[in-house]
Amino acid sequence: MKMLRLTLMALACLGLAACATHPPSNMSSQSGNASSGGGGGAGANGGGNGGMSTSTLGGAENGQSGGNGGLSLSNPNSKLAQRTFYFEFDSSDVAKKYMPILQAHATYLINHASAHVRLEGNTDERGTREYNLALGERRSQAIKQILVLDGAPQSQITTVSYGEENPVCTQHDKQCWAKNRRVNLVYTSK
Amino acid sequence: MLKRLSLCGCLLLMTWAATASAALRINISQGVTAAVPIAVVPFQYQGSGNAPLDVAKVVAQDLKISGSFSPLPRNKMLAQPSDPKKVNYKNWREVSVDDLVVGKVSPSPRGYTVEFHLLDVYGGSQLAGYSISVGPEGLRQAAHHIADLIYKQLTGDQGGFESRIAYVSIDRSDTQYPYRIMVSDWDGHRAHMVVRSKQALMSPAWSPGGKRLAFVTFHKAHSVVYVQNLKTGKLRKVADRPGINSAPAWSPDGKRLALSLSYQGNAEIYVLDLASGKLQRITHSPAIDTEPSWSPNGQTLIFTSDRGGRPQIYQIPASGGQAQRLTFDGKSNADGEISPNGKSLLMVHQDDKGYSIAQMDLKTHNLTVLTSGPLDEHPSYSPNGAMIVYSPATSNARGLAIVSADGHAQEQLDTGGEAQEPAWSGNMAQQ
Repeated sequence: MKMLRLTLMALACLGLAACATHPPSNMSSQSGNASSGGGGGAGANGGGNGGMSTSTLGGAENGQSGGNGGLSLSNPNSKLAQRTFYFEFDSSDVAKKYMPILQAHATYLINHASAHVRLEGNTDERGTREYNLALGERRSQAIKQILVLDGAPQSQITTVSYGEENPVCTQHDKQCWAKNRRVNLVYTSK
Repeated sequence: MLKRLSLCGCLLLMTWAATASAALRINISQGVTAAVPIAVVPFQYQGSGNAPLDVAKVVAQDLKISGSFSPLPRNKMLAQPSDPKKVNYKNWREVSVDDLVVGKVSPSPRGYTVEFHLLDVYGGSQLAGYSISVGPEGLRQAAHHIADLIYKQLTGDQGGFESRIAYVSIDRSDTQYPYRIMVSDWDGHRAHMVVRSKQALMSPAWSPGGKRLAFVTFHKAHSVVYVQNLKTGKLRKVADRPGINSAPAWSPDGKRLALSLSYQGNAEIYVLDLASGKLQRITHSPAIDTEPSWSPNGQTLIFTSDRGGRPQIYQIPASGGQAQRLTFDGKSNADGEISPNGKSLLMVHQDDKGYSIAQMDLKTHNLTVLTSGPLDEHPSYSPNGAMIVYSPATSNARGLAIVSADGHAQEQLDTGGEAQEPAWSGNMAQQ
């Protein structure tokens, strides 16, 4: 009997391992027909290739002098370096100050068909966990909507929510909560 | 290949036999009013050496936490008989005890035999007497069984002391598998790990009868709902659609799972038939609809929605239809559960002081706040509805606590680390 139980457990483990051998791309295909985006995540071979060459930002469209530093993912002074967007409590309204930054990311996605971003929605610990999971999704979708309105192709954007399960700060105070109410924009391929 | 394994091998099934060292300690105890005074005399051990477990202590603790009984402290016992024939009832009337429990534990070839007697102090008579045989590891379970028999005899209700709790524990020092789903006795003893993962685990939910557990994993980088058979260890993926897959809740017949899924745009309530895989959409709203929970008769679902602005609890026929708002008090109310007798609604209630556990009478709509907050969450009823397990936040970690449904008795449970999202099973199905 004990043997049988152990065997069953071993089988269960195998079952899980089997499902787990799917390439990672399958694990983030939320946005429907992510056909091309999927492969990028699996390969992760975009490493040091020329995809990062400087293509200058049309800074004028944001009414800024711009031009300093190209539209490069590796340039810490570029608008593209900002990839965290914070929210008010129980809100998924995107602050106006983020609009030029999101425009820059949208432009990058337009100009780099192989680029793909994952928008990770997060909340603070207040409110119930499952509600927060849905709120995190609403935040990631709010950012996605702006990128799409700015012209970014839907197929290059994936959204995911971690609710309150992925805090960057675990104190029970206002400063900490503010840091956790965020969407992280992650380039899964460049 | 290596990378792939490291990405995916993060949800591991633990062996059923593995026991965790965590044991719950009771830290705080508040005064209990309107509780029946009872004395549970230490059971005499017939073997050599010390008794392997203080059975009477476990029995008394079960009865105490129910809020219905007030066990007499041992230092107030004038005698400690183990044989019902040798009980001097006068001793017990003097200390104002209504009921008395005496017993013995004897080693047997198989393990142990526990004999106990429940005595009516004022009538001077025996109400019940049992002999229970268990294996070498079975004494603690026997103690919970005895508490159930006593509770049933004296109140007419099921005690549920043999029920179990599932919860999420987090060990941040384990960089490989910090998240675990644990299952233990209601008091935290006999804890073992069901699943562990590098990524967050959420929402453990018991099937009726306690044979299966549904939960949410993030090991595939997004939320996925699994069901695990606790006896065989068999794991089944039941919801892995685009968007969120969350908030599993078993129907009272154990055949269906209510879920919150967002593959059609935003979080809506669905009912999944587990045998056929057929999915029925229940809610249709641009707002967040989540945290479904079934009424005990299976006719309706309650759920959290922010369709009115802030999160509130709504009710809807389990086959779909018109949703009706149930809660109006405070700033918000969420994560509802209807009591086993169908009369009360348990929830996380938000007011100016924060988040606390509250119960609302479904007939009068009177709301009673049971805990002090400020960050209490995830309440779950014991099988008879007399107790509630929930998760309060201490300085910077979450733990578990139990409060009686009348709010009078409250206990902190120490799992030896961070713990959250407790779910109390129903009465366990007989093997």
